[in-house]
Amino acid sequence: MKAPIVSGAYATQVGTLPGRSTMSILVEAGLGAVRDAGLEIGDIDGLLCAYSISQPHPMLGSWYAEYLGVRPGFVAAVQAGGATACVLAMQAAALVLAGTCRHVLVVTGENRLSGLKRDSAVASLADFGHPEFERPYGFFIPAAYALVAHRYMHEYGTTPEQLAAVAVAHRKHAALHPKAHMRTPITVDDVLQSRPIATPLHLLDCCLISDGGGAIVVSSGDCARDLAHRPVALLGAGQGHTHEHIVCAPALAEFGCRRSADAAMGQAGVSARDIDVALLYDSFTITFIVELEAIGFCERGEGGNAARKGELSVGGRLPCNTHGGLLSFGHSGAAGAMFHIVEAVDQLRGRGAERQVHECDTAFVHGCGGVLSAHCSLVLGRA
Amino acid sequence: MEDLPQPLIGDDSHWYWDAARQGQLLVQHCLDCSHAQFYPREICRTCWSSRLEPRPSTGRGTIYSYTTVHRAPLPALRARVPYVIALVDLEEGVRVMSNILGATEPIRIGQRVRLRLERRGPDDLALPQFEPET
Repeated sequence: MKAPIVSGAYATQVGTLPGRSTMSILVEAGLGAVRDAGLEIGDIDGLLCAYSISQPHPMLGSWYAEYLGVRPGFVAAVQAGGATACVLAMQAAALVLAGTCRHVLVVTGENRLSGLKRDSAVASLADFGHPEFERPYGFFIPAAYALVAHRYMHEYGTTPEQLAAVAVAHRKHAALHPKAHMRTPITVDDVLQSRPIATPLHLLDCCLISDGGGAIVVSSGDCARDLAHRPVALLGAGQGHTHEHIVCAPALAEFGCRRSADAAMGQAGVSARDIDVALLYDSFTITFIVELEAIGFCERGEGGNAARKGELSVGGRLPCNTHGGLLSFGHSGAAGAMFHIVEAVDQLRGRGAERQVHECDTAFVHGCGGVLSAHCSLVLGRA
Repeated sequence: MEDLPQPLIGDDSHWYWDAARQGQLLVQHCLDCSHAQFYPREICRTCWSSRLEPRPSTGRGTIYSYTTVHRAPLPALRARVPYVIALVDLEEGVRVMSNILGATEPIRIGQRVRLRLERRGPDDLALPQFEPET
């Protein structure tokens, strides 16, 4: 059976989008992906979506179908934090492989910045903590990643300067993407002198809060020739889960990154050295470092130096997050990792413009939810 | 001024909070596989036995990791910044989250800490917390 393909991909403008509701953003993203595939909305027979923290609804998938006026044969909504977009893509692939659907629209996004305002968006990051054994201690997601960072620095010698180099490299890439939220260059000193959020993490070690949306269409492999663009194949997918709450994480260095990546690369029949571009979830600089090193793209403790030396930039040994990632392209809920997938598709189609990776045949995408809790990896390649 | 966040006490952990009020930190031990676990559950996370026994902790442990929070997520916590959150490994072999009371940096991983209960809220709830051992 032919591998499923990503037939369409689209990202909205990302940043502050005043006057745009969650649904407005989801509609632009969804229609954008369908048009990009060269399909009509009526061709879509499966619909997968995520969630919106700014405009929560217990049945977002059904609402979206109703709003668009479509009646697909399969609708579901999934919540796995930052892993969601990859989980949805994996599920869409399973649906087309099973013959349940032919064209599945996977749509994510929300007006998290304009709809929530910054303080409420930050307050919502406390909700991921255990209501009884974490939240009373002033838990919120940045503090949890700060706990990871201190332990990781203790075990592998990673330094604040190395973490800052990751943020700097991401900003350089975002400057090359016309839709990115933050495009002004920054230096290591800028990161280290930005205000402390939770030691050792500074403001510029943390991802953005953005409005925006992204979508893909996952289609059956046998319809590749009917589509508008050179298709991108979804060659492998995998997941890894060890915990939800950080008090239950087995160790603050392992997590489920490796298991997830190994499953995806195993299915695709590739290894880390075959990857031409890696799109890794970067909710914080430390998130990126842990994934990069746990998956095996760099030795332990070497990721920060690799970023500083330009090895992870376009033209380097392994270009990563060539759109700027959550740190600089933008983060609007489940769309955060969807932007990684859209960038993988752009790179594989050769439409990366100034940030195009030379001879880009194989891309790796990694989504991560909670506190490195839920992992999902994808391997995509030129079909 | 808003109140500090209170634990949302569940049906499977009343005994934990009742004991804390009496000055004790209890840790669940499995009577079938002797695994100790945190947080309290109805079943053992290792062997899925439901024969679990809460036993008193020595209240001593070491810091596995820590952070000093400067940006409060909730208005009620603003008066408290900067505050330290730590993961503490208890002598019983379980890991808990805590603030480190009466401490600012430098704090170090591996530092020894001991239990100190913090009274919080109108019902005089006792929140297990830790402070540096002197």
